[in-house]
Order: sequence, then structure tokens, then C-alpha cells
Amino acid sequence: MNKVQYMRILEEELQALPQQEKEEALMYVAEYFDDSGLEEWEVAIQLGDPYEYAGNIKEELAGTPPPYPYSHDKKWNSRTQSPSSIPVSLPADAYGQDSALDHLDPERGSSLNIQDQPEPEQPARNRRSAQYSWKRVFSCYLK
Amino acid sequence: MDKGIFPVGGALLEMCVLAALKPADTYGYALTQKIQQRIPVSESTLYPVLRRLKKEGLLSTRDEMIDGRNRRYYILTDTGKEKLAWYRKEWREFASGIQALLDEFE
Repeated sequence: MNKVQYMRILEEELQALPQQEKEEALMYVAEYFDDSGLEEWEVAIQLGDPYEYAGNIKEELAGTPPPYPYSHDKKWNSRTQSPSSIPVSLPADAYGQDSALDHLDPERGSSLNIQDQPEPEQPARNRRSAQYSWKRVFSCYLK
Repeated sequence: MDKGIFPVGGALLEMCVLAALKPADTYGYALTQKIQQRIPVSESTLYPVLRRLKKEGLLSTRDEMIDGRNRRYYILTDTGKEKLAWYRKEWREFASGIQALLDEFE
């Protein structure tokens, strides 16, 4: 895989991002190729699966909270300040009848009409990954 | 060092990126090299961290023309330096705690 091929997959995968976010990410990767001084296929291996690369960017933009958010009042570790509204223990029926956990219980499945529910569609990324096996394409280069 | 035994992500990766940028402004590829010389880090996790740190104001960037193309340098801001100092302190405590535990039960 060369630079153009790698970038094309990234661009496609980042299509849904705001224009500026997409451009900055693509620019970073393009510069990475140019600055490395390596063969393009070597850089592509360093960067790894382009779908995974794009996935990490999308995940970050989807609002993964920073590990320890900075705030100017020096309260670095916001996790230590737990709001008092969180109950210490949950009531016995906290998960209710319609909890997603119920679907995992075959004993209770019948009462939930699971059969009537349509098959969830596979995420696009999984479909693409199945067609395209990064490791297989580059297996000859991998030790 | 075996990759992946102790995953470097989250706060740890943030700290490493801030530390690697302390001596000088650095561009993406060089920054990756600096970090990877010491610890195994997947390149695909670095850009999201740089983006986040910039958004939080811990880093800024400047663009330079090199051989007719752009190169983006990442710069530690004063806020970034402050946070790095905080991370160092926290890390020293954590690392010495781990070490003390291992030593105690050796």
C-alpha cells in the first residue's frame, strides 16, 4: 500500500468529520509520510491498519473524555470529586424489566419477543474490515 | 521490551507526549520517533492525543515550509508546561509506590 492508497482509505473513513478536523488529520498523516524518509509501504506498515487509524480519530472526536482534564482552578483530578447525588448502593430492581442485560438471559428471552426484533445491521467498519485484511496483504513484510 | 504488556494510553501517553515536547518544538514524525525510542506506542494513538492537547490549550502549533511543503511543529504552551510538572509529580509518587510494593514482597 502506498501513500495515496492509504490516504484515500483514511479520507473515506473520515468523511463524516467536520471539514477542518478531516483536513488536519489528513495533513498530519501526509506530513508523516513525507518526513519519514522511508519507502511509502514501510510508513504504511508503521501507521498500521488505516481503518483502525481512522477509528481512533473518530473515537477521540466522538467525545472520549480526556484522562485528567485541565482546569484553571487547579482541580486536575475531577474524578476525586464525586457528586453526592450518586447513591452508594443501587436498589435491587435498579436494572428494571427492560434492561439490556435481560437479552443475555435465555430464560427470559421469550417474554421479550426477541424474535420480532430485526437483525441489527453490522457497522460499516466491520463490513469493510472483513473484505480487507490488512495483515494478510502485508503478511510477507511482517516478521 | 515486549509490546503491549503495559499499555501506554490515556494519561500516561499524554504525559509522555508533553515530556517529549519539552526540550524543543517537534513535528509529528520526529515526535513519534522520540517516544518510540523509549517505549512501545502505536502511531495511530498519537494524532488523537496531539489534537486533544491542542484543543485543551496545552499545545500550540506553527507551520513551516520545508522543501516546498508544509511541516507542522507542536509547541508546549505555558499551560502545557504546568501540566507536565504536575504529571511528573504524580508519576514519581505512583512509580515509587509500585517499586516499593515490588521490593517489599520480593
